[in-house]
Amino acid sequence: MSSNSHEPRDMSVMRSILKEMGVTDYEPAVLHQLMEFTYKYITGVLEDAKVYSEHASKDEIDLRDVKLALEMRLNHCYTLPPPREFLLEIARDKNSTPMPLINERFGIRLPPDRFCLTATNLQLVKKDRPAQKELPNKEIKIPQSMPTLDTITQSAVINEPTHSFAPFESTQNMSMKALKRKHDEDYDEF
Amino acid sequence: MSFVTEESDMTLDCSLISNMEDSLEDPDVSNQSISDKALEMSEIPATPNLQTFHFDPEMFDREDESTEEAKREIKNVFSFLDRKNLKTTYSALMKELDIPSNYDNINSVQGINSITDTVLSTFEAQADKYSSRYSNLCQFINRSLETHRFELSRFLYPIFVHFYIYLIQEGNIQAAKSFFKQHYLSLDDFYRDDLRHLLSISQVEHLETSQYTLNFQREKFSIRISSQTEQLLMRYLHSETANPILNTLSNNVSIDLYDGPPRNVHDVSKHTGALMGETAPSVNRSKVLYGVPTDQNFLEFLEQEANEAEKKKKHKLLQNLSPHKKNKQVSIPNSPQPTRIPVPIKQEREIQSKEPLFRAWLQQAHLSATELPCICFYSFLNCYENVISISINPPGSLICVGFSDSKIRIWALTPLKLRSLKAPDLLADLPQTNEDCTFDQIIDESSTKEVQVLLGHTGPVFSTCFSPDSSLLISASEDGTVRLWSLHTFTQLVCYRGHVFPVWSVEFSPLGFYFASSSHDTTLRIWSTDQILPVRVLAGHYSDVDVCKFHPNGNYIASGSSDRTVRLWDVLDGKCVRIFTGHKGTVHTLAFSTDGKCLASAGRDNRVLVWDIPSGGMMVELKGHAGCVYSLAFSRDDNILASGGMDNCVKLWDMRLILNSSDSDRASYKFVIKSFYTKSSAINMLSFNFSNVLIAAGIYTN
Amino acid sequence: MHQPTSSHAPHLNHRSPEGILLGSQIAVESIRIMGESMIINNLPEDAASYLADDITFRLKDIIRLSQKFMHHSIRNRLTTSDIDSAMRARNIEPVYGFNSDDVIPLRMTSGVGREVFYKEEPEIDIGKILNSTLPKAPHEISLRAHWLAIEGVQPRIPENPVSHCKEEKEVSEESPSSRSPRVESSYEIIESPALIDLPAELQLYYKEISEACVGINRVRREEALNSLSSDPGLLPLMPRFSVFINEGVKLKLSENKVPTLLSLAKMLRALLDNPTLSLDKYLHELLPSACSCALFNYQATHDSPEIWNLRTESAVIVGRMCKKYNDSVNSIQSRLTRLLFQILSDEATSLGSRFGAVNIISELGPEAVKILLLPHLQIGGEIVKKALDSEDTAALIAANRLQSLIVKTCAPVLVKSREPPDVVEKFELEFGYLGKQVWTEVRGLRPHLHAVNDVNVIVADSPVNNEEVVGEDVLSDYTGFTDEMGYSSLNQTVNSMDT
Repeated sequence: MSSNSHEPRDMSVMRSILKEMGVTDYEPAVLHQLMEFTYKYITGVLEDAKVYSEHASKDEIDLRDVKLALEMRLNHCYTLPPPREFLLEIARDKNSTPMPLINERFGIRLPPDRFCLTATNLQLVKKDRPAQKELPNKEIKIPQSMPTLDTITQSAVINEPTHSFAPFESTQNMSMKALKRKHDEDYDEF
Repeated sequence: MSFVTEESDMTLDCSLISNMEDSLEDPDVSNQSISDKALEMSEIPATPNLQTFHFDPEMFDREDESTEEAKREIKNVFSFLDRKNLKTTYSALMKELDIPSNYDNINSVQGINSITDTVLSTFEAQADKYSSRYSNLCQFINRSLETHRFELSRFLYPIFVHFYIYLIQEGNIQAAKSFFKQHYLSLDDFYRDDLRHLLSISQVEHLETSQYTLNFQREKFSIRISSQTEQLLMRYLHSETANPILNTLSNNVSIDLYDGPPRNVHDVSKHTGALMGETAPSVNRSKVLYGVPTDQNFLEFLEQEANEAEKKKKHKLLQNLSPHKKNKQVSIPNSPQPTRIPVPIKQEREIQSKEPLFRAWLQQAHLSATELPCICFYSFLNCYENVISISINPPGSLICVGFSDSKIRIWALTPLKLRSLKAPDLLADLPQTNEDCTFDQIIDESSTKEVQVLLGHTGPVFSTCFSPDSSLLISASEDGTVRLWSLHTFTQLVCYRGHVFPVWSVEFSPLGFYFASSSHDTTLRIWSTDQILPVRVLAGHYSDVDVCKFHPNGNYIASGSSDRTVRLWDVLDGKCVRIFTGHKGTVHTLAFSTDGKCLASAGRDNRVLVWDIPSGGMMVELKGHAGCVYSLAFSRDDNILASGGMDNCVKLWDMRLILNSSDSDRASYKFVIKSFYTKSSAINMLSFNFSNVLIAAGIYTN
Repeated sequence: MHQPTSSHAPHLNHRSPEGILLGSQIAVESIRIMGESMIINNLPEDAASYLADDITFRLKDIIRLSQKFMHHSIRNRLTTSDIDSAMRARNIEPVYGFNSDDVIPLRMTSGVGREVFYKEEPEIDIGKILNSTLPKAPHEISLRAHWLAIEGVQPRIPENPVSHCKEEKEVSEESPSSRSPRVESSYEIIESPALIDLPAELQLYYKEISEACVGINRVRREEALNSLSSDPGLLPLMPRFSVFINEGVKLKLSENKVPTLLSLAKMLRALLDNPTLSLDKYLHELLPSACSCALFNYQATHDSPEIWNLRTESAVIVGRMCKKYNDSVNSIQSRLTRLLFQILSDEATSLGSRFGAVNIISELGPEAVKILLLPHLQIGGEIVKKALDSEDTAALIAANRLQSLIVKTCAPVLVKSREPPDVVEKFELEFGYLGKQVWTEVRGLRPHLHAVNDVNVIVADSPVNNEEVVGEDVLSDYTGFTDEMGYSSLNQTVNSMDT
């Protein structure tokens, strides 16, 4: 990719870094992204270093401040996967338990309900809006005192006649009853 | 979330400091004690815990400025030793530094100065010593007999990496870089990726943030050589004293010896390439139950068919059935008991749904080198580089695609389109008992669609898999979760969170009920659909696990990784029963043969390797692809192996020929039967359906 | 030094030392500048270089990790989303703003001594965006299925690549023991076409096409011809077509069924036009058929323009075939020219055949004209004169046609090869009876002498060309022969035949 126009040195350095890593085909935006990342990283580190050097009552940033700033960063960024011994230990623990027994059940076998995503979501069903010329504002009285929770919820329900929760809920209950798993099956081991 | 156990470091430090009793008197003492330890341990250590201490690298950073500082530090040490009268420590220190001296010299300032200078000069000399030792080793190897040369050259890579790491640890960045530039050409091509990464490490702190160097420091690199070669090497190494190479070998390299003549270059290069070296065959000796037991349901089906054929006097059909019956009734050797892994009892509906599959099996096309399969290719158009993974269900009626915008789409390939269950309120109206209510009644006919979209993941979906009865789908994504979807309601059922890092691959067990996932966190986890936590955790790989595949009998699982090895694990106890090394690039795809005896693996090195599971050895190395291989499939009768990848080509390999040819032939013979090119689609997925038609899928781009 | 073993991973093509020796790093100067942007002046040298080392390491680490994402997405192109994923996996805060496709390029100004690069941020009028028409929505993703191979043979459908060279490579790569008897049929020169071997669809296609081509329905015929000239999958049918045409021509010639012959000729033309077909294996059947059509002495009861069309059409075909497939092995050209020479020299050849021969010569280019036709003009002229003087209407028409054709053919060549001025007498001397007409034509064609009247006169003189001539204008085909060798040897053969 020969560019006739000048480009900042960093960009050409970025290009050569990509080439060194063996990346030959990449989107042009990648260069910009990496440059942004560089800037963000360096300025972040220098900012932290400044704070540390001020704390140590030094006039200027020192190498040690920079190192400390980087070390602090590593605590929450740049996480690597867990070390191998750690994982081997976990695996040893986990694998020593026998395979869990399977009980008689029919249908799809799923974990207990609270771990599943099978709970019904609420669905808003639009009802036809009756011909209303005016908004039912007169029902809301701007309360003189602090409104209680009851009044607010009540007014909320009244204000939105287009969304009907009530009838849906009743069907929900019925269907929930039919599909809800029996209580004794809903065991959990944890 | 940081897993480096810094607490343990601190305790170690503290204990050492507390040993030096008056640790709090001088303001400089805290520095001293650490640099004390530093001096002690900056020699090539006998202990492997190189990473648990921090020491001041400035000592050797900039020669002009820090030499003064270094001198000051060393002087402090010696004056401390003198003050506290630590004679034994002093003599031990001098012994380790190889400087002859007696205690009295310290007393005078002059004495201290001279000792300081000697110490400094020994350290400076050390920087060179790695380079010179390494080049001596290279020369020795080149001068040695041809028979031994290839085996000896295996040592170069681990020693190179360790020397580089030592130099970085000593803080001698310049020396490290020059050592690298001088010697990197002595190593094989396939290590270049690793070496690139190694070169980018230029500070001590980087050593801890790189999985690669951590692996090298903590684990042992394994090499397999003949005892003759080992004797040669040891003789050479013992000829020099205080040899860092010897130290490295004893600490970080495990050598597996065998009796007999050294192997030739071909045999050696076949098995090298893995990140942590070649596995010893002793690792691969445990018994593996690789047989695939016959499906009882299939036998019953055959019985049924045979009876019907007799009744209707369809003699020809009887003739067709009898060979299958004979094959299936023989008990397969080395197969696991059906109850080894607990599996739920098959339900009637499941058994019934398998009948068309059994029928297709009976009618499957017989394939061989002369009777080639038909290949049906599914191309996805207009996808704008979004499509990541494609998978198909075993009967070949549904195809599922995972996208980079976290969607999953399912297409129906048969005229029977995708239909979902009725809404819950309608279902409640239906009769509850089995006899009155059929499956068709609970399906909502009006919801028929050709494509269904599943939303739920929060990152690109890297892999999907259908359950054997095609009622469930699991998907793995970059967000670290594995999600279970129902194919009757097309909604999410469960989200399994265990891997925090991107999950590269998921697969359902052929027995159903269990599935496995492999992730960037270097583990595989085996889950069952009714447990929210994993049932087994398989750890052992040195780098992220890119692909996982269940054995046809459901008792074993194979995994391919970025550390360029393929491992076979036992599901029952989570032990690793086989480690196959030989790939020279990341392994991207695996396939088991239908009879469970062979495992094929392929990846970035453009080669397909076929492994023999009972013996643990490599059967054959298939070269021919011009690009990374992303998909593999064995035909149902194991006669043909199909492979496809980035070079837009599907290649068919003759497995029958491979199995029948003897060992000496396998290395050089070209086993490819035929190659089929597509216009411009990389082959994303390959799968043989029950009638032995090869189904391939890919993206079409202009 | 131990030599590196042979490349097991061809993708690692950094063989040159420079490839890994780059060791490129973010410049210390840049770190300084970034510090200055935060009002951190006087950043010490060691701190800056440490930071440079560190950021380079992080960058390379991110790139390495994003390559993993790229590999798993089965792509070769590193995208911004890969880098985003890599940052997410490493728990770093991602860089925002790189999801869209367009990249704002950097612009440079140089002021205050230093070069400064900035991102141009043009102001966009929202009103304009709102009022403009919406861009076209992209297509929804769709699924298509096709057969990549049927029982091991790749069908030649548009979805499959048309690559002869790749197939050839495969043939050489096959191991001898696994060669199947039914390998690529396109490379077998089938002596007798085995009708059983073709798949059902192709058999059906062949039947339909052959019926349509020689049938009466014009629309169908045109469709069939269209299909023949553009369809990519016809190679396996070639032997059959060749036999069909050959047999058809033989039969119809003897029966004098000119319309059918014309259809066959058009069919052959369509096959010739098909870019994916190569006729060179069938030339031994097709070329003689075409030549026969052109040169045959038809026993026509009445003069129909179709015969002339047929001759012209076949002449075009012969000429094309010769040009396309001539090489030193089959030496079509020399054989053809020998044949033409024989025909022209033979006094007994009919006018029609001469017409055909002249047509072919004109197809072959100016060189052929020069060598074959110009010497022949004298004799030709005599024959034409004789025919014109005779009473026979058929002969009259034939002679007229022949005359005009000869004139038309020779004139442009003469224009190119001879210098003005053109003297009538010289032409008459050289070319005999036809000389004058040739002269007028030549004069007409010379650009600076172009007098409309003259041309019209010539056109009015010869009662020709009321009917359409099928095929292109023969004279406009001046691609000429590049095969010098062919013609020098041709010259020799012609000269040797004279003696």
